[in-house]
Amino acid sequence: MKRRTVITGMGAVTPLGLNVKDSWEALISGTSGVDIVSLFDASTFKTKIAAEVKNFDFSVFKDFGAKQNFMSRACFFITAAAKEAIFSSGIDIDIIDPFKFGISLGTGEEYISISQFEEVFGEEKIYDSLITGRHYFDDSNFLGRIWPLRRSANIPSTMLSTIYNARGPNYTSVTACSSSGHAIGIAMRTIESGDADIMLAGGGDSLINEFAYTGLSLLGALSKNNKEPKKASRPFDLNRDGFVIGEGAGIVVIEELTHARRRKANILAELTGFGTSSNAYRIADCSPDGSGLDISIKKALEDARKTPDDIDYINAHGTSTLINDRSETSAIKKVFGKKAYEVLISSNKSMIGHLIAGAAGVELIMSVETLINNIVPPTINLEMPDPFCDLNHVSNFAAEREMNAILSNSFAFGGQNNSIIIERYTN
Amino acid sequence: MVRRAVITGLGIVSPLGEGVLENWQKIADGESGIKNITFFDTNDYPVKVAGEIHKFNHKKYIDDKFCLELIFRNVKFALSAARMAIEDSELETKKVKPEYFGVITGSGGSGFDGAPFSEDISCGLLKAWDNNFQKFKSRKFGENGQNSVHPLFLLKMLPNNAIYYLSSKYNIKGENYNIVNTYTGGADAIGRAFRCIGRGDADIILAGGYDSLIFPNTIFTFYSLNMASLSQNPNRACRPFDLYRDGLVASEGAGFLVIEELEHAKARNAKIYGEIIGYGNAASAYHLFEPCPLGFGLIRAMERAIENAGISREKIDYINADGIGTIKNDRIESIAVKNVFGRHAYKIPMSSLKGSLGHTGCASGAIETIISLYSLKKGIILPTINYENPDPECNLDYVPNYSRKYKCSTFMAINQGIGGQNSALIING
Repeated sequence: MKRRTVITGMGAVTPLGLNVKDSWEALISGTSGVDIVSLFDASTFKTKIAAEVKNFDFSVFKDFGAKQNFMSRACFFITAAAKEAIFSSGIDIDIIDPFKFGISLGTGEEYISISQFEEVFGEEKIYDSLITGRHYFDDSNFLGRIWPLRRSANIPSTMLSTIYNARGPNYTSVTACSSSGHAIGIAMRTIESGDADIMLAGGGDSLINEFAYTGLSLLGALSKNNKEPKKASRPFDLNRDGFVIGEGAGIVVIEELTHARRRKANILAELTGFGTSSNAYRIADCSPDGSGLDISIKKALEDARKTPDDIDYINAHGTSTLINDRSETSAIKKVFGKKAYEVLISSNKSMIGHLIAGAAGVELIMSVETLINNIVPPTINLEMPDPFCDLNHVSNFAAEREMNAILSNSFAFGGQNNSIIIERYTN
Repeated sequence: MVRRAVITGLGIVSPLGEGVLENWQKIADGESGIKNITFFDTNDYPVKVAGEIHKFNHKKYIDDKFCLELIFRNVKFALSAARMAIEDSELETKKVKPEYFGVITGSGGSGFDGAPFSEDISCGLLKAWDNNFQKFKSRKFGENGQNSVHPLFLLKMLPNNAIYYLSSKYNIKGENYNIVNTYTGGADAIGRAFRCIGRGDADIILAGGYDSLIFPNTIFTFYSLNMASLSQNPNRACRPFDLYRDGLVASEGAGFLVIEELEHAKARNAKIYGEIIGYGNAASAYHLFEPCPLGFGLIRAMERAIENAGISREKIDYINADGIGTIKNDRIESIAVKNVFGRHAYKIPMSSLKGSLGHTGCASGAIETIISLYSLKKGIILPTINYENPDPECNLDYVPNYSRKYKCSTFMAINQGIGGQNSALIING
């Protein structure tokens, strides 16, 4: 008999709010979290905008002491989101079986930003080594000594395991923009196979730094709409010109059904379908006909034993790049047939930007809220839909609609896709 | 009903050479792949030795010139080892259903060590230097620097690019994961592949690990955390379980396996090396980089793997140890094995190949599993080299220095990660 997986807790740190409630309320009121970059001086960059997390209190973890040296900005967000998720799940860490409690996160490596140079390596030392080509080694900077370890992608999952005494399976998935979706899939499978009863899953990222901006700009992926930041992220709109980088984290508590019922947990939704696929097409592109993407959607439907008719809403990847939006539309049409024109669709990225490794985690949380509240958040800035993206968009204003099953998509550079299906939990 | 997963193809790139046979033979002969560091100047550097891969002709394995321009050396190893595994399996990739063909990798990350002087960026970064303030300025980087960096450097740093190149070469469109658990990734990739095939998500999975730890900053971090061997003598530097062991030796490489559903393999008359029967992964939840003194995570991983395999622990007749050669890890590993196996622990030969290979990071789980599987076939198990002075706290049978004729049918491969991740695989030969 298949072990069923349910979501019993959620936590989020997003450009729209520092918890799930604030983020959700801003999301359904159509608020954009995009603004001019404040984390570095982006005035000379082609793209000067980002969806930054605002007013985050970095002192909340000061009791971690020296551990904080290992925490990147993303790790702070993840830790805060995990705290909210655990709290909202009502789990008592002291009474659950620690060996059946695991972590599965989707993250990326930390990129150093110029403002960290002095603290980590020392500005002049970096300059010297650039001039002479010699590497330098120095015991004086603690951060420099541990940098390769700190920046590695699995620090957040290690961090969470130590905070919550989670001695079960521990995974970090790194597949760029779809990382946290993959992590949620692994968490689901881990519970199904009996390796764990509870998994803390999701992810987070922060790529608002000079090098990520340069790299993504050079690939032509970023919006350059610096004049009107709030209008920059416009998935499926004809006048879109690229995505906007966001930052934040989204963490969910995934639990085996009988375990959740035994402790009378508040079951928010059931996780019923998951599928991954790769495009095998081009490294930084997806194919115009959506091939590859359709496979993950199909697999998630099969896994959930659902047909397209059962899906009420698609939380799209919808990055606001021409190729992604069109490819995703084609894939949905391929799988959904005529139903594609009926099912509601919107992209959270129009407001929170693209959280890269954290995107799928946050978007899953917003999908759960959609399911609970029967309100679909809109795609804002969708003023003139791209004729190639002629689906049933929830544009600019939230829509009330009864929800039973939701599909959430995530795709990535490199062509790693995943699709997740959640359903209203019924006995 | 859980479907059975068998291993039908093997591929290795390591400091000892290319392919399983060459690696196995050299380890059996007691050879070591560890040499003096040549990748960078070690005059003022505390660590002198590493397992560097030299004279490796990746062009033999990678035809795509565009791809070669856009990958770091760790990915070159990955693509080469994966090709060896595919060729070894004699799989006609065109005949496989692409949506039931997957790829799962364990990697240490993007393949550069996070220092801002990666050569793809350094030229642009220099232009961000403000001489008046003696500081780097974001504004100047935006103005002048952006045009001087490698235009596609981000694709080089893409942490999942190996999956991309493998999926496009072999038309793999199914399950894919890239697991970054320093340093159990390779073993976890095999474990996840086992789970995916078990539940029917895929029929064939190309799984493995790749990594390179030989970066000045990475090794310096090991040194700072008292994990690196400071030995001047490459051949004797990494001494797992020996009383005078003084740390790990950084190395590099890749190991890939073709893992296939049993009936699928039988239907195409594939040669079957072995079957994966158990897998466990657990965290020690103890510290960010110190191993848990009582080995809790590792114990749990082994117990879960045994429970998962549904066999009695006496059935396991060889253990491929992690044995990285640090004081703490090797001791903890011995404690954990004794804890799990009780008196039986003293009867199971348990060897670490890291004396010969060094620590290949996330590749280690895959490379060592492959070599152990091959040992099983040969009926000869490989030694822990440089084991000269028994440590009273490590008093198991580590197969010291010489390979041994030994018939065994089921082995366990264990790996401990720096962040407290642990994994155990049980494989039937």
